[in-house]
Amino acid sequence: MEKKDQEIIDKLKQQTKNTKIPSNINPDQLKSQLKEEKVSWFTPKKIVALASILILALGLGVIYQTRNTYHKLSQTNKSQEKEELALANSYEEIYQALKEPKASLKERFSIDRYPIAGDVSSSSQEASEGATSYTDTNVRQEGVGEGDVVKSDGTYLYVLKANRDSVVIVDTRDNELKEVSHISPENFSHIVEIYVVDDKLVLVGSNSAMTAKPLDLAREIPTEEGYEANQELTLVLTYDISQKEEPKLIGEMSQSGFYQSSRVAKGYLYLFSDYSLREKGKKGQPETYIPMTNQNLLEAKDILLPLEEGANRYTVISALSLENPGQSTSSKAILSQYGNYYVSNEHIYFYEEKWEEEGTKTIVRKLSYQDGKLKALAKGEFWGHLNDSYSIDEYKGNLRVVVTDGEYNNLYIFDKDLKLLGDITELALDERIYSARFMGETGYFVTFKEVDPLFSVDLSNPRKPQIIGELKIPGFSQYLHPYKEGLLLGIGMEVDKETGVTEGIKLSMFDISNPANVTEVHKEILSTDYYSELFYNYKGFLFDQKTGVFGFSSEGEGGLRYNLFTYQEEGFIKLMKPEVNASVNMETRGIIIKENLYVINGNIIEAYDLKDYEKINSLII
Amino acid sequence: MKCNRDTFILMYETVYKDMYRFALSLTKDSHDAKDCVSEAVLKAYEKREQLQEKKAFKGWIFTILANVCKKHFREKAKYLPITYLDEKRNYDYDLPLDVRRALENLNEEEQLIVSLSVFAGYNSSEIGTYLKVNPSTIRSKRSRALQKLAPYLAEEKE
Repeated sequence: MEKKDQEIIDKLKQQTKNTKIPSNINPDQLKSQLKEEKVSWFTPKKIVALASILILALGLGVIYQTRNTYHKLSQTNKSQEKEELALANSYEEIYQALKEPKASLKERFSIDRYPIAGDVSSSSQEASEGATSYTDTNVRQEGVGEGDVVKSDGTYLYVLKANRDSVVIVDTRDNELKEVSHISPENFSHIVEIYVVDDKLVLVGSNSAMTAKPLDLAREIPTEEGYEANQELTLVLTYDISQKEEPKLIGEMSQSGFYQSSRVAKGYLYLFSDYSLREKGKKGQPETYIPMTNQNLLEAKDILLPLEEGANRYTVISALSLENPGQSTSSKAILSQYGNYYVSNEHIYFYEEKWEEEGTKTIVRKLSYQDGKLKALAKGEFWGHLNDSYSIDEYKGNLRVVVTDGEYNNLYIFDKDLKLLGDITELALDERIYSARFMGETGYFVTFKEVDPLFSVDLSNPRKPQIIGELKIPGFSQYLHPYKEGLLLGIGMEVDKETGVTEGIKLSMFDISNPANVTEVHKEILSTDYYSELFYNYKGFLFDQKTGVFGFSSEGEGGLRYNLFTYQEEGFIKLMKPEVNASVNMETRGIIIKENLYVINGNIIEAYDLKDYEKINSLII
Repeated sequence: MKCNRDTFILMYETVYKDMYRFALSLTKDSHDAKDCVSEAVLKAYEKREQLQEKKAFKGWIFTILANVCKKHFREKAKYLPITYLDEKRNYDYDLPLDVRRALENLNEEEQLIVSLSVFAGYNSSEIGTYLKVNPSTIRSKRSRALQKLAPYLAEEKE
C-alpha cells in the first residue's frame, strides 16, 4: 500500500481509538449470554457423511436428508398454527411488550378483514401527454410511484441539491438550462427525495428538532435523565407549483422517526419511517414510547405487536392525500427489530428476519392500502433470506418469493392470506440469489457461485411452480430488466471461470421467447469498470421504453461515467460514455426529455443532444 | 476446531473493541452498532465449529459481522442526516464528527473496504475474497476511497 494511504488509515485508527465501547458487549457480559453446550459429534452434516458412506457401501441410490429438509414448511409446527396478526388493545400492552423483552407474547385473533378488490393492476406509467416525452424514475412496481433525487415533468427538471436542504427548478426548453426558482424550507435539515405529481412538488425526509429552530412540529418531553423522545421527525412538505417561479407551501406533515421510504399511488402519499426507541419509555406517559403523527399519538389499535422479544423500533406508515397534505388519513405502526417492505399496487408487505438455530426465517405481515386507508390483513413466514425487493412479488393476489436459505435457494408461492400454495426447494446448492425478476406467469432469477445460472420458473399454476430452464454462464447479473417482448436485459459483473475473479461490468441480453430454453444472445463487457450504483439501487437505471435506450452510471479506471446504450439485432450499441462531473459522492441520474439527455449528480446538470451525442449545456445549481 | 465458551470469549476479548468500531463506521449509529455486534457474536458462537484454528478467529468473525452490518447499513445509511448535531447525543459512544463526515463521502462498497482495512485489519487479498473482487481492483478502490477521506481528517490530536 502506498505511504499516503497508510497514513490515512493510521489517522483513522488514531482518531477512533478513544471511542467508548458500550458495556453490554463487553466479554464479561457475554459470558451469561453464551450457553455452554456439549458439542456433539453428530451434527447433521456428519450424519450425512456417515449415511452416504453407508449408501455407497450398500449400493443403494437413496436420496438422504440434508439439514435443509428441517426447513420444509410442511414439517414445521409453526405453519400449522393459525397465523394471526396481533394488534394492540392498549398503550399499556405496548408498554409491556417493550418493557419485558423476555416475556412471551400471546398471539391474538383480531384482524381487520378487508376484501381484496380484484386483480393487481399493472397500470401504465404516469402518462406523458402529447409531444412532450420524458423518462421517469425506474420504479419497482408499475403504477406505484417512488421518490428520487431528481424528477422531471417533461419541461422542467427538479433537482435536490447536494447538501440536501433545497430543491431547484430548472427550465430545459430551447436547449437551455435556466434556474427558475428554488425551495429551501427553513426547518428541514435533510431532504431525502422528492416527487412531482401534477402541479405539486412533494419533499420528504428527516428532521432533527435539535438542529431546527423551534417549530410547532417539535415537542419536548422532559424525562428524568433529560433524554427526550420523539425528537427525530420525518417530514412531508407539499408545494403548489402551478407557478414555477413561485412555489407555495400548501401542507406540512410530520411523523416520528427517521424517513425510510415512501410511495405515491392514486393521489395518496404513503410514508414509511423508522422510529427507534433509545429508552423504554415512561409508564403512563405514552408520548415517550408511542409514535405520533403531527403531534397526535397513534391509537393502540393501529399498532401491531412484535413477533418476538426485544422489539425496540417501530416502522410507522401513514397515508396522506395530496389534495389535503397537512394531515394523515390513516396510520399504522409495526413494532419490530428491523424490517423492510415491498409495496404492490394494493398491499404493503412488511418483512423482517429472525435468526434461529437452523437458519434465517423471514416473517411477512401484509397490510392493504386503498384510498388512503391502511388495514392489517395477514401474516406468513418462510425459511430463507430475501435478496432485495425484486425477490418478492404479488400477482393476482398471490405472493411469490425467491430466497436463499443457508446453502440452498427456494421459491415459495403464498395465497392472499399468506398460506403456502406451492414451492420449489433446494435449488442451486451453495449459491445465493443475486437478482430476480417476476414477470407475470414466469419468473427469472440468478444465483451465483462461480457460474451464473439464470433460472426460469413457470408460475402459471401457483400450486405447482416448476423450473423450466437453466442457463449457465460465467459472471452474474445484479439487475434484471424486461427489455422488449421476448428479451430480458441483465446488468452485473463478468467473472473469470478459473479464478473466480471479477473482470468488469457485463451487459447480457437473454432471449426469453421460450422460457424453457433461455439463451444469452449477446453480451458486452465493460472491462475497465468495476462498480455501478445500479447494483444496489434500481433507481439508478434509465430506460426509455419507446426507443430502447437505457443508461446507468459506472465507476472504473476512467472515473465516474454515465453509460448510454441501446440494443439491436446485431447486439449492444454504446451510444455515449461521458465522464460525470461529480461535486460530491451523490447518486447519478440520467433523464431523457425529448431528444436530450440530462446527466445529474449533486449540483451539476449536464445536457447532451441525443442526435449527435454532443454536450450542449451545463449548469451548477 | 473444538472451541468451548471460555476459549471463545478469550478470543472475542482481543477483537471486540474493533468490532464495535467497525460496526459503528458502517451503521453510523451506536444503537445499531451495538445490535450488530451482539448479533454477530451470537451467530459466530453458534457456528464456532466452523473455525479452523485460533489464528483465523479475527478474520472469520469480521466476515460474519460485515454481513450483519451490510443489512443494516443498506437502508439506514442513506437516510441518516449528517447534520444531526444532537446536543444530547452521546458523543462518547460515537465516532468523532470528522470521521463521520469523512465516511459520508464514500459509497457502500468503499466504506466496507475502508472499514475492513482499518478495523478488521484485512489486506487487499482478504477483502478481495470477501467481496469477490480482484485484489488489485480492491487496492485501487481503497486508494481512491482513502484519498476522498483525507481532507476531512483533522491533524492528529495529542
